[in-house]
Amino acid sequence: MVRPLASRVALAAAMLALGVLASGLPAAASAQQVRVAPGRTSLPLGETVTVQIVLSGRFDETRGPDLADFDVVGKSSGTSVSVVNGQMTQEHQVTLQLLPKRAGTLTIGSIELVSAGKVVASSRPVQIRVSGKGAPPTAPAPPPGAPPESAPEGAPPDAAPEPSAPAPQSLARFAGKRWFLVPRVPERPLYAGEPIYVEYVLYSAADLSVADARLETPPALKGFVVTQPRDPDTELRRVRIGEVPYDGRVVWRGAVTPLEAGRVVLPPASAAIYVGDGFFVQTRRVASDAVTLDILPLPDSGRPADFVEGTVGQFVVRASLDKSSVRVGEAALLTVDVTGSGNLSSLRAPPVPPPPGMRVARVPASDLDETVVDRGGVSGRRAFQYLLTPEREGRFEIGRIELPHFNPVAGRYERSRTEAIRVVATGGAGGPIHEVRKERIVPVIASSDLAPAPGRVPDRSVGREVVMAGVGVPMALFLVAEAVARRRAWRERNGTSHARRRALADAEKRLKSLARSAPAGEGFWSGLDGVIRDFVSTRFGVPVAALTSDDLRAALAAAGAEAEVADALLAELEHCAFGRFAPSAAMERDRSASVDRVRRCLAGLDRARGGDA
Amino acid sequence: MTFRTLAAVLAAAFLVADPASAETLPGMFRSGVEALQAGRAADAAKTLRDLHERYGVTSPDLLVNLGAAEYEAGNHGRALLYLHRAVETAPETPAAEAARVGIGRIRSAMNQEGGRSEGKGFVFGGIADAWTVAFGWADPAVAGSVFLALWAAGFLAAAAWRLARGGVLPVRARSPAGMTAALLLAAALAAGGIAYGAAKVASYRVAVVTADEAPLYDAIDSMERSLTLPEGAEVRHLESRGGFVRVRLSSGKEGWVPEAAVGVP
Repeated sequence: MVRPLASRVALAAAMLALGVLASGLPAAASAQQVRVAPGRTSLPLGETVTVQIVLSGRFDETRGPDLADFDVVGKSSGTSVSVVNGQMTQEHQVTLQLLPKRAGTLTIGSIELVSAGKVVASSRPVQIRVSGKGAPPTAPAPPPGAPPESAPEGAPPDAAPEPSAPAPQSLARFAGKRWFLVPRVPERPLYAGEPIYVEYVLYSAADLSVADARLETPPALKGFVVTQPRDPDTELRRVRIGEVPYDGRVVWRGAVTPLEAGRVVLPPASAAIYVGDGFFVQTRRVASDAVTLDILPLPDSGRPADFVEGTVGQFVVRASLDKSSVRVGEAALLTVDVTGSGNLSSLRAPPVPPPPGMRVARVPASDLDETVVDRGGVSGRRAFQYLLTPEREGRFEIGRIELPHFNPVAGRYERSRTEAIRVVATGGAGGPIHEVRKERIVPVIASSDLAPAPGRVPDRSVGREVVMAGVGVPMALFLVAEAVARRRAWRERNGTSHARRRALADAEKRLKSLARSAPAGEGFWSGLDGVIRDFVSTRFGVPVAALTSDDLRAALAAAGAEAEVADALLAELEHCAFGRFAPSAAMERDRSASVDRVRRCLAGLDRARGGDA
Repeated sequence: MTFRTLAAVLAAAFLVADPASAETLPGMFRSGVEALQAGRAADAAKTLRDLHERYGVTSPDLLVNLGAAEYEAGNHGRALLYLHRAVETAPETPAAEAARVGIGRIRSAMNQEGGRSEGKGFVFGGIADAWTVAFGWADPAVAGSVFLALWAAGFLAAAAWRLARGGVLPVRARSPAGMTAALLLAAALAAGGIAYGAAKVASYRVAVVTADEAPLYDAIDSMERSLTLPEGAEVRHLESRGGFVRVRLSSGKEGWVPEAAVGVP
C-alpha cells in the first residue's frame, strides 16, 4: 500500500513530536510508563478520534506507534511536572487527532520507551472499530501525494460524512474544466459554536504546467470567528474527476466558527493561477461559488443541566496533582487538562467542588494552553489550574471533575470526567512530605513594582548640630543654675554693704527728681528731708527718726563723718524743717541751691568709712 | 522599488531593530526573573544589569535579583556588590533583609570553597576591626539619642542639685539630686563613647573586589603588589584617587587597589 504524502508528513510530524519530547525533555527519575487513551474505540469512517498519549519516567527515545491505518490530522503536546512524596514525575502528553483511512478494525500500534538501548516500557496496541458506511475510495488509486479524498462516485446518499474530502458530486460538476476554485467543508451536520475546518482548493488539470497559484481575494467571512493556522498547506493533492486527474492546491484554509444557527453563506473567493513553461506565463483568474451552510442549533434534548454554552467538540478531561500530601495551610496544585478538538477557546474552567475543610482557588494558567488548527479542525489542550489548600488535617477527596460537552460529530451530548482525586493533609509539624526544592543562595524576588530605592541612607548617627545643641543646652542650663545659686549666696553675704553702697546713688537719683520738680513742686522740703534721712539711715545704719540733732551728730561722728559735713547736714535738715513749716519766698528761690548742697553733703558723708561692709 | 523589495527592506529593518528597546522595564524584569528561574543565570544577569546600569532602575528588588543572578553566573564579587547596594539604599525594606541573607550565604559559600585564585585561605566576611568588634552591635542613632537624653537629664539633675544647695529651690539639703546627677552623667559619658564608636563603624564604606583578583599596593605609586585580594573580598573604602582606591583590610593593613578591580556600593 502506498501511503499518501499527506499521511506520511502528518505521521512524521507526530513521530517527531514524540521524539522531540523524548530527547529534549529528560524526565525525572521515576518508573517509566506509557499510556494510550483513545477518546472512543468505535466510530464511523470519516470521523476523527482523539488519542491521548502520556509518557512518564526517564527514557531516551520512543518507538512507534504504527499509525498506518490513520491520517494524523491534528496534534498537540505538552509537559507537566508533579512532585508526590518527594518523587518528581515529569509527564509528556501528546494528543493526536486521527482520521481512519478505511473501515474495519484498525490498530494503533504500541509505543515503546527505550532507555539505554533497552525497551523499558510499552503500551498495548489499541484497536479502533471503524464502521464501513463511509466506504473507502474506489476510484483508481491516486498517485503518491494525493489524499484519500476521491471518494467513489455514486456513493449512497446516507454515506457517512467525510470532513476532509468533498463529495464527488460536488466536483463532478466541474468535469471538463481546466481549473476551478471550490470551497470544501465537512459534509455532515454542522452546529453553532463548532469550529468548522474550511479550505478553498484550486484544482487544475494535471497536464497543465502550473508555475504558481495564489489567493487574490480571500473570502469575506462575516458572522464567523475565524482561526487560521500559522503555516500554509503547501502539499499538492491529486484527484480524478471522471478519468481526468486534477491537482488541488489549498489557497486558503482556516477554522470558522458560526456564532448562530441558521443559514449562512461562505462567500466566494478568487485566486490566480499562473500557467506556462517559465518563459511564457499566462495568468488566469478564477472565483469560487458561494456556498450555503445550514448551521444547526444545539439540540435541547439530552442537554445536561450543567452544560455550558459553547462547549462544542470532542474532549477528554484529565486531572493531576503536583503532590498528594500537603501540610495544613499549604497548597497543592491541581491541573485539569482538557484535550481534544473543538471549540477549545470557549471552554470554561470546570467547577471543582471544594470538600469541607479545603479551599479551592483558581489559578490563571493560560500559558499552558496550546491549540492547533489543522484538517481535524481546532485541536489541542486547555489547562485549568487550582490551588487546593486544606484547612485541617485529614484525607480529602475531590470528586470527579466533569465536562459536559456536545459532540458535533456524534450529534449528541457527552460527558467526560476525571477520576476522583485524593489529598492527605498533615499537621504543620511535619509528615511524610519530602519536597524536592533547591534552596537558592540568594533569594529571588519573583515580582516587583520596581519602585526606586529611597536613595543612599544618610549617616544614621545623630547629627552634629543636634549633638552640639544637646550637649550645650543642658550645660548652659546648669551654668545658669550655678549663676543663680552663686548670686543668691553673694547677695546673702553682701546684701547690707551693697545697699549701703547703693545709698548715695539712690539719694542722687531722688535729688535729681526733686530738682526737676523744684520750681513748682509741692512737698519739696519734706522730700529733701526724706532723702537725707534715708541716706543716713541706709548708709550708716542709724535710725535718724529716733535721734535728736545732737545724737545724730554724735552718731555721724562715730561713723567717721567729718564734723563739718555732719554740721552741714544737720543745717540742711533744719533748713528743710523751716521750708516745710515756715516757707519764705527766699527759701523757695533757694530750692536748687539746697539740692546742690545736700548732694555735696551726702557725697561727703559717703566718703566716711563708717557703714562699709 | 517593487512592493516585494520594500517589504523585505522593512522586514530587515524590523529584525535589525534593538528588541530590548521595545520592552517595558517590568517586562525586562520579568524576563530576567524567568531566565534566572530557568537556570539561565548569565542571561538573567545581563538583562537585570541592563535594567540597573543602562536604564537606571534602582529598585532594591532588582538589586537582590541581580545579586542572585550574578552569584549563579559565578560572579561572586558582583553579587556581593549589588546586594550591599540593596542594603545601603533601602535598609528597612524586605528586599534589604533578603540581601542580608544572601550576603551571609555567599560569604559562607565562598569560605566553603576555600577562596579562589591566590586568595586561597582568605576568610570572606564583612569588615571587622577593633571598632566593629566593640561597637558594631550598636545603632548609632539609638546610642546617640540615649547619650543626649542621659546628658540632658544629668545636667538638669546637677542644676537642680546646685539650686537646692544654693537655697534657690525649696529642696532638702540632703536631696539625692547630686548622686543622681553624678550617675546620669557617668552613664551619659558611657553612652557617648558607644555612640561615637557606633557612628564611626556606621561611617565605614564597603568596597568589594569584583575582578578575579585585585593587587594591593602599599603606596599609590608602588609598582610591587604587597598582596592579592580574591574576588568577593570585602574591604573598607577610605578614599579614591587617580584611578586607585585606598582600602583597609580587616587585619588593619592599608593599601591601594585599582579602581576597576573593586566596586563601591
